[in-house]
Amino acid sequence: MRVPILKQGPYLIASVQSALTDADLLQMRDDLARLVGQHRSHGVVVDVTALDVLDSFAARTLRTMAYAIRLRGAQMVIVGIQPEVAFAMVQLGLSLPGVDTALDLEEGLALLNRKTSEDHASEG
Amino acid sequence: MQRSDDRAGRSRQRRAQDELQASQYARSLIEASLDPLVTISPDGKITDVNEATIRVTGVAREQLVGSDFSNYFTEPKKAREGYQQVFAKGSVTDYALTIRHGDGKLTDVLYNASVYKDGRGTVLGVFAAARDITAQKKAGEERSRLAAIVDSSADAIIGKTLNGVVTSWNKGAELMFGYAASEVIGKHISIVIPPQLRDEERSILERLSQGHSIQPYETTRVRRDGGLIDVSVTVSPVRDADGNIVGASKIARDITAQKQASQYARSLIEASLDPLVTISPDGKITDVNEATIRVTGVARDQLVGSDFSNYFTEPDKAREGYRQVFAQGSVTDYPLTIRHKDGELTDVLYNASVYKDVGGNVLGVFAAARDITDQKKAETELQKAHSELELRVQERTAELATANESLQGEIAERRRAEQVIRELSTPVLQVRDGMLILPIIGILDSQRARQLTEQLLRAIRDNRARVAVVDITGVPAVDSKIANHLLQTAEAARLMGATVVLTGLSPEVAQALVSIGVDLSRLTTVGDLQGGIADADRRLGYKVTREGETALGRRA
Amino acid sequence: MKDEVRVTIKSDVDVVAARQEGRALAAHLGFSTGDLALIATAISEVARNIVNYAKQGEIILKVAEKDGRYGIVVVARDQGPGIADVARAMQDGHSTSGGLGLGLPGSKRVMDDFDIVSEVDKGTTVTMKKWAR
Ligand SMILES: Nc1ncnc2c1ncn2[C@@H]1O[C@H](COP(=O)(O)OP(=O)(O)OP(=O)(O)O)[C@@H](O)[C@H]1O
Ligand SMILES: [Mg+2]
Repeated sequence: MRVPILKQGPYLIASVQSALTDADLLQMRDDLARLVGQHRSHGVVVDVTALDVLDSFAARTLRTMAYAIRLRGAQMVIVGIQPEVAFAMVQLGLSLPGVDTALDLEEGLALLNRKTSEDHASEG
Repeated sequence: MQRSDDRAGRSRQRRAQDELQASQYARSLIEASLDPLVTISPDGKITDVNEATIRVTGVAREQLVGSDFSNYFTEPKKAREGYQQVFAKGSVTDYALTIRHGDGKLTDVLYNASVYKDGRGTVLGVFAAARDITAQKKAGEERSRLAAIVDSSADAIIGKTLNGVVTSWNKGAELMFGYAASEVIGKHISIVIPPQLRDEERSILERLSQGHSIQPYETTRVRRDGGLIDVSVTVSPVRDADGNIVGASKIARDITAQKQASQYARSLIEASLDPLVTISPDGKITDVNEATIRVTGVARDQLVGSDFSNYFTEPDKAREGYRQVFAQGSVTDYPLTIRHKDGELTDVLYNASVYKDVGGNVLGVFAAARDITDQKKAETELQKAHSELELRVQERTAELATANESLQGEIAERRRAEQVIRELSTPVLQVRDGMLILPIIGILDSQRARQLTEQLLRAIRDNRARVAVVDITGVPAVDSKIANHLLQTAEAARLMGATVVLTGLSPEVAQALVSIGVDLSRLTTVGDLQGGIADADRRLGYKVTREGETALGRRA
Repeated sequence: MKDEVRVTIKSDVDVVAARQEGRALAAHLGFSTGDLALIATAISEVARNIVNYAKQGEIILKVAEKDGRYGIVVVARDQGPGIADVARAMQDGHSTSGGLGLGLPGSKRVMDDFDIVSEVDKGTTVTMKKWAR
């Protein structure tokens, strides 16, 4: 199932479903990269609240996705990693170095606001 | 032992039989005696012994009889002098000797001995009875040992008359109060009692002299230097030989440190935003925190002692709740509605478990309520926000339905996750919006460490916390395993979008951990809890500027 | 409850199915939510390895019982190319496909028992066990 991506002002919100296959994940990566360019979005929130597993493939894909989006001049925040999932990731040895995280959609959007205003401040 | 009921008319045979019986009777008494008994001839040879003598010497009867009495003692000369005295004076009492057993075991005895004579008054020998005083001697040693203990005790042990005059004052008392024994003995105890507490002391001595027993109590004492100390006091009566109460013995233990620790725990409990109560087995409230007072609008002294069930819209359900806890040991997420005295209602979920004394006896129930009014509001807001979102979305309307479904699923998932057992053993306290404190007290094995991690991560989600201060001041030993576990916890929290600030790690331990290769640079550490909270405040500080921003997607 | 569940693994959709089956069985056995995430993740790793390296195979989920305790047994089996150097494959960070190389060693860390048998050109069998606390 394709991950729905909503446009919210300058941001894109990807709302990940629980039954996420590898193909869905790669599709989301490509969709986001394309839409960020298309809408000149400033940021992306990937909401993984519904995910009950984040394995090594998913961790790697999220990492590369964050880099790809940054290359297009936008920020990416992953929100909603559940306690059990976070703990399992750490046990497996998976981490998301250099990737921003926040508790939920609201915090994620707030973080994007801070980050993008910092960007503008440093530009100006 | 002799008997003469020589009656005329009795046959000689009969008399002989009686005599035999009488002497057999005397013999059996002698044998039955637990004291070693011997008879000694004028030349110092043993002429007869009983079983007890055989036991205490380890030598057979036929070998004892005919041998030198003095052979069986650690001091043969003293033994000889002993029986010579008896022959000379007719008797001795409490003559101290030590018997040596064949296998070397020594028995301290006191001898009572006297000469025995035939019908004509001729001395036949000495009859000597020994009394084993090993036990008595031990008791004496025990007494001096106890005296030494009293002397070396860190507790102050004080003897005083019923008027309060000090009669004894041990080293512990000297150290605790700063007065030497010589300075206080004979003086009144009030020199260590703060003026406002002198009545308390008087009434205790009064009740004691009336024969009442006094429960250990906690009070305050004043040192020679004027400093106040918290002490726990045990008073017991001192009686004379006739059982009359003539004084009091008092043991005071300095609990200043203990009190500080419990005040620390208390302040953390008070600081909890969750209403916390303890309930006795008959359903009465025994303790409450500030949050409970706020949510009920009832004063602490009125809450304590009243029925727990009083404060809910459904008292029966509340009663059923704590009964379940007593029956099953715990309940989780038990929904109730608290009624404030002004009528305001608060929806809560109760997590409760029994607490026990060190002996494992159930003392009561500890119950923590989580206010879910906000959560319910947040859910409605979430739904509202989502419908707003819907209006603004310009494309991908097809996927919108799915997104909606996912949000509903998210809500359901959260509800389900909240059913998960929450451990109450270590409180996770929300002290400010967005900040949690987890004071860990006690040994942290890997099982408990894992439990704490799960608890903390869940609390981060449930409270939407952005900073969690983990205080390990109360953890006695932090090894590399625990340190790595803390690192993993911090990393997991980061994945969730929260920061863990670790406090209470001593510089020495930190140094040791680094030297064995633990990468502490990945952890935020701050010296003590206070500093940690300040650091957390700073981290949350940007909230102030954030409020001022107007951002799309922010729920007002 | 069935005592054994078999999931044929042919594509990434089956990886999702396998971990969902595993989670359901483990939930039934009374594993904590924390353990459920660990089990589902480990299943996801070994199932994905089948798709990636052997093209097809199967995941067998079984119930273990010992002294009144329940556990879950996960067997991942394929007739693929096998692993030439199993010891290396078990090292953190070793990957022949540009992956993180954490699938096998990570799974070993989160399960109680882990056993791997592999023969070049014959195939690979991973057997993992975890006990409910
Ligand atoms: N079923 C298998 N058949 C053949 N080779 C395998 C199989 N499973 C693993 N391997 C080999 O073992 C290596 C290590 O596997 P592992 O799962 O640990 O890492 P990865 O798959 O490369 O990366 P990751 O799982 O972290 O995305 C793989 O790169 C692959 O060469
Ligand atoms: Mg792999």
